[in-house]
Amino acid sequence: MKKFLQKLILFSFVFFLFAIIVLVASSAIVAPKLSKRGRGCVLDKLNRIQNIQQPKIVLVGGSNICYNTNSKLIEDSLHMPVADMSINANVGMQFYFESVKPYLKSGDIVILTPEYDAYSKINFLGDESMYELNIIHPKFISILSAKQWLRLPLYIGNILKDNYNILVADKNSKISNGRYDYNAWGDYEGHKNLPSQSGKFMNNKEDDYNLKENQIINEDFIQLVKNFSIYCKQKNIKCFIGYGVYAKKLVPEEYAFKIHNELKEMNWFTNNPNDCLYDANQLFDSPNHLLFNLQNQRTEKIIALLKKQLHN
Amino acid sequence: MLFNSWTFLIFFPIVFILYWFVVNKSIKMQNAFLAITGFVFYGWWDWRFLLLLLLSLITDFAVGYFLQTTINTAKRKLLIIFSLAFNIGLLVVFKYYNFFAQSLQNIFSVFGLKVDFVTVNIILPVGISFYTFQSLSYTIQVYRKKMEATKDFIAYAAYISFFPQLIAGPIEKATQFLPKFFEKRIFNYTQATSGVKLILWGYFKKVVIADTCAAYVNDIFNNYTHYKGFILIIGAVYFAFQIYCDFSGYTDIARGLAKLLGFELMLNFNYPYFAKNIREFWHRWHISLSTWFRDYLFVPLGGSKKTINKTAINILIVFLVSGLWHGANATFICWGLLHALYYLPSVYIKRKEQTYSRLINTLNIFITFALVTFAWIFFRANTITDAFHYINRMFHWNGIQFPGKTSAFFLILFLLMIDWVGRNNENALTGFVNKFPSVRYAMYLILAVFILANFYQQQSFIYFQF
Repeated sequence: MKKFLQKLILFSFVFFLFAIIVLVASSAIVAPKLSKRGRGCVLDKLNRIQNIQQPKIVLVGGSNICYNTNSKLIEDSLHMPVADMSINANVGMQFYFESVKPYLKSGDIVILTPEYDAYSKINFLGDESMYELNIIHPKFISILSAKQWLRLPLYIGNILKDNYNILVADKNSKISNGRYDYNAWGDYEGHKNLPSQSGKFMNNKEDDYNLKENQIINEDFIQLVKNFSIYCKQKNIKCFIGYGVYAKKLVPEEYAFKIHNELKEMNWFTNNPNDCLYDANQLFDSPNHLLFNLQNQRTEKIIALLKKQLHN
Repeated sequence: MLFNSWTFLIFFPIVFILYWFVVNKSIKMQNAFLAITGFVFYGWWDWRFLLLLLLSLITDFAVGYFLQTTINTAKRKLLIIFSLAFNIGLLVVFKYYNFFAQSLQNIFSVFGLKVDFVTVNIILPVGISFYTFQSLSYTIQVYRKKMEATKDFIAYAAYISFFPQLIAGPIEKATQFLPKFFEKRIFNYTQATSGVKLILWGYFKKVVIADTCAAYVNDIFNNYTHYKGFILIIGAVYFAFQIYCDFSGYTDIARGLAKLLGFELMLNFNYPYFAKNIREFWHRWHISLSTWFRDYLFVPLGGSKKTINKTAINILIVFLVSGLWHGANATFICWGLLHALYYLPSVYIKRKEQTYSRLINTLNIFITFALVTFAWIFFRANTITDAFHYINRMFHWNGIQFPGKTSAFFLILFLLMIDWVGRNNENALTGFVNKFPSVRYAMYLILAVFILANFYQQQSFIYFQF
């Protein structure tokens, strides 16, 4: 038994060492390619938030922001520079908060619009896409939480597979969402002139997007948002929260108000879900993404709501 | 609990440590521990069906006990009929009721009669066909006086709920496997390392090859109307390797885990795609089920001792039942029927054992594989109509093109290489590394990395549904 266990432990150790070496080496090779893909926009967004004038408006949340917002319009209307720091909900809300914190200064305004499902999903930690961002920008390692470090072994295989796909399998495949589809403010423009694909997600049998009345709200996520709001208050930063864009048919009203109730002490730029709900034919490729030509309409609505709150 | 889940990767080391270091004082303790781990393993999926497993276990243990203590032949017959009715009844209720109800409804409707049978929405308990057959083998063997009934309920519970083979076999016969639960288990280094190699190769076959093929197979079979010709042929070939790697991978893992616990499970797959004819294929594919049907169905029907026509009918029955065993769907019956048709000529045309040239052997292997693959189309298709349409479109030739990426194709080539080189061994990987010892550890490392990279998919095993 002793000999067997010794050999097994030795093999396991060599195996994990080997896996880590392959992981690090393949990640280093993949990094330049990966940074040209959609999540590579984080480098440009970081660059912008560091270099724009103070005070500024920072948009924080998932892709419902960058797909649906015209930051320049906000900038021109409110006469403050805007940095759209949103990427993709899968990255996890914790990442958004931690990655923008170092750049927030007194007098800034933060507009927070988490996706509806972010309130009920457990993976607000971001899981593998969080690790993808670490390949693009290794400095992000410092913002990984202990929980995320603990989860890392579960994703080693996944990352290896992704790296393999980028390097070998998908070498010649066309990238649909690339880094350069984002404009200077950080808004996504890759869906310009593209038609609605609502048929795909509105009839999604797997119910990925269909929120239910009895959806359980994730207390950890609520706490995370509250903590961020407290952080902003302490630093004299105004933080507004609102609902993200979603398909009218898929959000039950009760669920939306449940969210509002959980976070009622926060500053809401709108607590009326109807301000953010749209018909299926107005949506692009998910219930969170508007067609490009509705970006301005949506932005103007936010500006009006914000102005109201700022005057109060 | 799936073998290819993180939960199991935590579960097994705990079981291994407790089994060899904590409960190793007596066989009874080890058996009780194995029974509990079996229940945890099974209950993890759905604890309600644990009651079903327990019911089956208690019933057959009691039947065995009364069979042993009863001398009266009529009473003994009643007892075995009860056991058969109970076990087959479980299968009928949970697996076949809706199928039979709907089939009868369809038959009546052909004659213009409208009969409404109540169909119920019952979830099929995972592995029910496996553990009921294993349980049945116990009562039948006791009835046949091939073994004595055990009085040790814990050992019996450990035998039925032995987690490595509880859900998808190999179906171990009580005469061979139950006595092992009364033997002292001593850790054996050679057995354990052989077990680890089996587990490694099993995981590779399942997680890397079968799951990679599955992605293409699912796409091709679910959207076959968009494809034709070569892609549909490739779809069927990929499925042949998916099901082989999925099931034999599971068996390898099960056998490897059993070895780590000091048990030997029977060989269930012996390189079936290298068979030179259908008869040989059935001696190499799902051996534990084939031998079960041989011993408990074919032989009681009269086997091959009567006329040649009677033998043929018996073989036909076995294949049809075997098809039905796989699932309540006409596609499985068609699959069984097709194999019976392949098999029957060998009953009528008796040939002397002959040594053929390498070329003829290769050709025979290829033809057998083609026939088996053709039958798999029925096995995989959602309905019989789909299967026929699939076959029809398969013959609309439009040149050679591969579906998506070629990774599945190269993985299959790799599998064939390892299997061919190591085919004289119970584990192909061991056979391969014995031939090339210098690459042994590099090979293990590469396989392990591939497994890790594909582990997240966690697709269920095909045979769990049977």
